[in-house]
Amino acid sequence: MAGPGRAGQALSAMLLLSAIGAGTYADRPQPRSIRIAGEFRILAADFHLHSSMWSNGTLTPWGLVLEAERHALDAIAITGHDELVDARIARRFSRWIGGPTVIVGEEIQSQSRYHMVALGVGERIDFRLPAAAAVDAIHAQAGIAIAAHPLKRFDGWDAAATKRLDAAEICHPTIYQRERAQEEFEAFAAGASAAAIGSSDFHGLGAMGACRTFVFAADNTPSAILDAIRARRTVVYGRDGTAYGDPALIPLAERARLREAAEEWRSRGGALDWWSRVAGVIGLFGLIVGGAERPASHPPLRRQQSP
Amino acid sequence: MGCFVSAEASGRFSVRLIVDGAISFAFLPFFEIASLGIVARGRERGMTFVDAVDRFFGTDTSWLLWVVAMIAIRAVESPQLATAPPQPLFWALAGSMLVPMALTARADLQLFRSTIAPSRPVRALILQRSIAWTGALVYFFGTAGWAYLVGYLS
Repeated sequence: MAGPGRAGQALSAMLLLSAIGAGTYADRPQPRSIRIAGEFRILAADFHLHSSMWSNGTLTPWGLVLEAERHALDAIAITGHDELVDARIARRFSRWIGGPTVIVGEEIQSQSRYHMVALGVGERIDFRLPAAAAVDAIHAQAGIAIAAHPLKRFDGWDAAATKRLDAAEICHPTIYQRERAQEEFEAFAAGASAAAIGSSDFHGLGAMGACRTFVFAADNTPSAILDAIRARRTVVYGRDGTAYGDPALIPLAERARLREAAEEWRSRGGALDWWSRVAGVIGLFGLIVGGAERPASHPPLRRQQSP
Repeated sequence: MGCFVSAEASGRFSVRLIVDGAISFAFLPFFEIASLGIVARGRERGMTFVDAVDRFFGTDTSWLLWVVAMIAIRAVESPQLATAPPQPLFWALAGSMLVPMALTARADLQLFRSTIAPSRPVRALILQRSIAWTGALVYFFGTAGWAYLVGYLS
């Protein structure tokens, strides 16, 4: 197979290096503006993130903290599947660098019958519990129970459980996959009287903060954020920009231009980002194709051994 | 994998995300090398384990090209499409993994037959895949996999 040869390999390497250089330069944290509405501070939060530590995410716990800074998030919750270790690591890291507020959380996956996010808990919740008992177990630890992507197919939500919930996700990336998902979330929320939550359920594909919650909290401490959710002081923008949450807060959110802030993740970046993407793909392809031809320079072992 | 993670998460190649992705997916080469260590005990005389590892990873070209193809798709699609791909597209991309999977298995079988496990190449390939993939899947899906397994069994 004829290939680009050594010059081609060098060109590919240079393209890849330029792509990494451009991408790294463009990869700066966004300034986190402090938004005040009356007695409250408005915080942009994403309460449903997964790390690569046993929770099928692609970023490390500290990587999630750094990525949250790039998306102008003031608070995040790392919610490992039935574990809390990665959230604790991220919390410590974020305190160390002065990053966003990290709330320790967990996503309880009850044998596929319901998924629930537990925020502010110190011990794992048993995933074999029925939904209502799981909510009670979260409350016993002074935590917050959020229904995670409560689509129709999750049949583990009974009336007792939905009544006890503190919050429910009404914006989740599935609303961009199928229109009916938004209707299903709305129907669930109608029966729950819970705070509106927007979460990206970020596993590493796509954008963190694609769905986010604006929390009207006394300050940016975890306890103030949890108190705000308990008091239903949240606003979320769903598909087509529909606002959900406390009706009294929605006009304040509009005045604070939160709708535009919620759209931050849709940006495809500038020229540096485009260069990084295009040159990176070409450079990687050139290196792989060029490298694949090299076996000719590695003769089979049998031939090496023969006298 | 670092480049893949960086491109998928941000649509660009940055040192921060490349390093993070490389750390996150370091378990893949770990399980591959560990499983190879088990099946390569019967390798040709004179072949060091380092040689065996080198040749074994040399058969991964089709996987690397698949990864570049995924990055290329991410480079042109919108952030919304990347965040929430329509189900048919998602399953088509996931299904496309069968191609590099088959091509790599074929290349590895040839490698095992010629040098790494000449006496029982098919058995060695199955054993290597079973160990490496089970380990990697258990690590990657972690406790979520356990909850699903319990749910499925009950």
